[in-house]
Amino acid sequence: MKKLFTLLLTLLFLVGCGSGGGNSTPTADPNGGGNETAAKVVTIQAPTPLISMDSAIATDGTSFSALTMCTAGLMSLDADGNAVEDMAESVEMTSDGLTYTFHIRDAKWSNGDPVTAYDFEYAWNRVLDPDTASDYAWILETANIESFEATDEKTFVVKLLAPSGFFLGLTAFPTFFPLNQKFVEEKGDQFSLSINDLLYNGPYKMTSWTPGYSFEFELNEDYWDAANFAAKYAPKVVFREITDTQTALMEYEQGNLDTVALSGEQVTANEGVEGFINKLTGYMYYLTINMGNNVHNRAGAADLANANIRQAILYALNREEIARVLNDGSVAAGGIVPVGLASNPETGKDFRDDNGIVTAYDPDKAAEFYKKGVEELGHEVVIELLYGTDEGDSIIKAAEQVQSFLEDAGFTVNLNGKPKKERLDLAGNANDHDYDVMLTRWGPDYGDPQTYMDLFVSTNTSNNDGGYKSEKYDGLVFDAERGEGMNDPAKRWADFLEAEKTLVVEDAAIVPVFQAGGAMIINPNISGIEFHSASVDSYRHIVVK
Amino acid sequence: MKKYILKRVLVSIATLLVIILVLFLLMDLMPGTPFNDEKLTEAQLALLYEKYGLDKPLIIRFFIYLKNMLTGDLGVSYAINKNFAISDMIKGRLGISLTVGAMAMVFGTILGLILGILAALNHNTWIDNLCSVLSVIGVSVPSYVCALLLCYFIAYKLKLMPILYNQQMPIKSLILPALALSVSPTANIARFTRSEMIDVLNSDYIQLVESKGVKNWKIIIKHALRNTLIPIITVMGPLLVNLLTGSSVIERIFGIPGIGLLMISGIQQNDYNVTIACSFIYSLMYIVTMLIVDILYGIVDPRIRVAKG
Amino acid sequence: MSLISDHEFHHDDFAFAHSKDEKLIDKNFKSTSYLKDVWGNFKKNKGALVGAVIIMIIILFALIGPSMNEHTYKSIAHGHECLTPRIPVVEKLGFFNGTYKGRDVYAEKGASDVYYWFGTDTQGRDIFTRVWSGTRVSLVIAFAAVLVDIFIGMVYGMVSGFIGGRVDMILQRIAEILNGIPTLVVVTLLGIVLKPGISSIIFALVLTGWIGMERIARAQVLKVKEQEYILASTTLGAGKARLIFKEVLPNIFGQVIITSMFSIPSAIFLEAYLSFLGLGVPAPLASLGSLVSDGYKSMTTFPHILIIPVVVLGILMLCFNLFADGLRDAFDPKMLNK
Repeated sequence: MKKLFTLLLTLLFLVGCGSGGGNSTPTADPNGGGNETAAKVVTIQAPTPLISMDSAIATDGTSFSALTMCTAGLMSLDADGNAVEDMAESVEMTSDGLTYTFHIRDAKWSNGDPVTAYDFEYAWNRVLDPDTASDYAWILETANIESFEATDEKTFVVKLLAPSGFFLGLTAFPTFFPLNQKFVEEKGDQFSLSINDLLYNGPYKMTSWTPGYSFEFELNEDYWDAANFAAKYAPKVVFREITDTQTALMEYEQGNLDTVALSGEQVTANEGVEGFINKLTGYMYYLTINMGNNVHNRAGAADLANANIRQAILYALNREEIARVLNDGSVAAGGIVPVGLASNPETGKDFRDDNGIVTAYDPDKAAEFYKKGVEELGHEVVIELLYGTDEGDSIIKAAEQVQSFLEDAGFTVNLNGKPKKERLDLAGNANDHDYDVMLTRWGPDYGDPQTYMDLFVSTNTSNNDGGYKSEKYDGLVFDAERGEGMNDPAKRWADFLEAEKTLVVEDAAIVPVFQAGGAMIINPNISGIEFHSASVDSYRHIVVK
Repeated sequence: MKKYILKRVLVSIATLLVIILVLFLLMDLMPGTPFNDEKLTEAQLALLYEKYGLDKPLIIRFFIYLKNMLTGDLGVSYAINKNFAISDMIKGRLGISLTVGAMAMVFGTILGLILGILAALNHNTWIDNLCSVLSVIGVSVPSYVCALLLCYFIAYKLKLMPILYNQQMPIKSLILPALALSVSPTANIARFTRSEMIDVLNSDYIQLVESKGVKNWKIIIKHALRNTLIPIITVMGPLLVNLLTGSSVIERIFGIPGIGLLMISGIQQNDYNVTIACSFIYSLMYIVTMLIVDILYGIVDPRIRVAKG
Repeated sequence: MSLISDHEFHHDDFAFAHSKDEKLIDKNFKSTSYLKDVWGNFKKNKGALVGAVIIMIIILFALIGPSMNEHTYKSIAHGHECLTPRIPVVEKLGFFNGTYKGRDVYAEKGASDVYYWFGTDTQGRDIFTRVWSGTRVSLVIAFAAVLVDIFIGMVYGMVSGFIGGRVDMILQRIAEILNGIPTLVVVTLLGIVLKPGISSIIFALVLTGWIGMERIARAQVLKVKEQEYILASTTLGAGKARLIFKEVLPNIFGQVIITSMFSIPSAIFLEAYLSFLGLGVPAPLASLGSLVSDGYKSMTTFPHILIIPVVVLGILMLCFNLFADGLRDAFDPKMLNK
């Protein structure tokens, strides 16, 4: 009998110890030992995991932020989102605004190689190379880049098809970061997969990376501005991947984390806490309405071709109320272009202020439009609302709120929750846009309304899932980007303002719902985290008091 | 016995092969692709398909996969850690998950046996009722609620344990997760032990031993427990595997980079290779556990060994 | 010796035991059916009775609870989010009076004239209504899953264990393949492929749920089948079917019942798990599991949203266990004379 017991227990312990615990050294005191340095180490909560450190492959916010920590592009963004020189010592722009010449400063990769203009040329070509299969290859086209070339080690020349107000800022975007060709080719498939398979030319170096757990950065003494950084900024920044908001908050309150993201449920109790902020992200959540695709199979989509029915949806939503229930810093969407994305080239007024709130809540109007629509159709309208179930609690709540408001207006709404990948698959070409109304989102890639306006032109088959087709809208967007607007920023701006009104108010093809917020608490002892709603959040300039 | 074990092992390997095939077919049925993102265009999607060989017919992909697998290559991740070799991703995580699982199983077995034996020996008294209530609470409260309660009181309020998993002190920071996970196996084992024990204690041979004047505890250890263990071993195998599956929520709460979480992400993000690899590892563990259970069966109950030749 | 020899026998010293029409039947104990025996035993178990009664009450509430006030499971009262429970009359006693951290939240939200008996959730939906409609959904899912467990799992396990040999080997490998694929993968996949809804969740649970029961049944049969009474029955010419269902079944039924009662929480939990992944009952429909995983998010801020469904779930489980215990004792032939 004893033998059996021993056997069982040894078996269990063997499994336990042989596998992970064995190499632990519990004698080292992880709490007490590092008090001195711990004061200067900043620990950031990463609510979503780090997916890739390859600048051509990365597509998510966490990866972009990590890349920005340890890689320097031609330009970088300052706290206000203005482009400032980084690897470029100086930039010249021709008077027509079409040619940019970047002069690369003397800088080194972490293996000692100099950073040259060829590194940029190689990296940009690599993004475009079909073999790389970069998700962001299109961004070079969006940026109106005609050609780019390293004329010598120190000079990088970029030619644009049309003048672009946002091009310089875009060079701070990780997809445009330089790569050391020799190193990348030497590493082959292994490139970027661990700290030893990466080169750094940014202010920090990645010193540790355990996927799913944490990644750490320490100041890079070879950075061109290293002296300045060493004097001002945190010597070590640790990112800890924590998904669960409740344990993350406890960890913060115990002083083991310096930032923590809050869920809507946690905001009420923490609003007064020192360091609490409501940052606004650039993510715009909107309803895309299927009004032209797959209408033969979907009764709901067929009904939505009716303009009155769509107007009913536009007026039915009480966006203020939805944002209040989400309670995570989100705000009601005033239009498809989010607050803080872009400002008028002449007056400097925010796009949102210039165009005003184009979405209004008017339950009476909604009911009226619905009634009119039903009269025209001859039957009540039943629609299915497609939304993502793995994209955060706010989305599920928002979907339920939208359902409630639409039902108040007279609709019958069935919710159809799917994981994000499948939601996009259903709404995409692969399934011939098999949906009625979908709650989806778009995050801006650069600080210009174009990043939203391009989505809904009739030629954009990848994003215009609802099959919206309006000559007026197409014309306005074309005029802004390829027509008169090319050389007249004011006209371009006016076209975009008009285009948004056409899209949202006149045609109600897209119904904006809310602009996502990010309630969080930041340790009052640290400052300098820069949130850029239209670009990458930067943790480069963290100051520890 | 040896021949029996050999036969069982061979059959298990065949079973595993069938499982891989089924997994492959299931993944193919899964709607969506690993590359879906708002920002991808059609042309790019096609490019990605070609790059990862997903444009080839299913059967060809299956054989390529099988061939690579025999060399230890489980493919690369498409979405979770782009282009990472999955064997590398799993290596680090499996150990942690197994540690939590094993710790939880040890806690669960010890607590469960104690509760069960106590209840059986004091059948129909308040101790029995108390043990029953405890084990019922164990099965009725979801493990994530237990986890958060433990976190809140033991780690946050009393500061006795770290809240989150910490690489520097893996064992200590895994105690709370293991405790949270062990709640349901404790309850299950306690219930089984109790009911089996009562059966055994009422059987003729125990009554005979009792009438011979053997002391109470000796009866338990020598005779009752041995016969009680058979059904308990049956439930322990599946419980262990269930633990590993159920651990994904616990891993999420405690920030543990384990394999459960990886599998869930794999399923949600359609990262086929990750899902297949993780599922395969679960299948492997399951089959091996079942094998061990069957062999242990033979050890604890000679009648079965004889019957099976 | 001498004593006997000394005694003289008379003819009336002895009489026939069965005189005249007297029959050999014991009149004190009427022959009762098996089920009557079971019921008799069950009645004696106070805990089991209480459990059964509370289950009845919960089922009753699950049926009528959702229509006991003007709210529906999906109706949202805008502005009434996160209200704590408030019950008329009881509120005067100092609890269930709609306060949160000492403040009267009902007054703050301008809802002084409203009573949400169990409070509201983060979207302003009545928890009372949602809990009972959730209970209804969970019970339907659990009962369906358990019924299938019993029918498929028990028969499969008994046949496999009793016949043994090659049949056992093949049946076990089939079960092993099915079980070898992680439940979560199968269930998630079905959740994605099938239309979201109660029926597809039941189907997913059915596909994987019976295997646990099958293993228990098989193990029990292996234990029972070597016993003497089976041998006796075989010797007397009983067929396989009779042996399995008439001789083996009653003896393993106790264990099977207990296991099936355990299938109830695991079915509810698996559903909760699916809800957690967004593949459970489609929103805004509620189940106990989805209510618990929703409430979890507010556990440290508005605990009532979590506690109420957990308590209902806990009581339900406790009663099922008490009930199962009673059944087990009642079904067990060995317990009959105790």
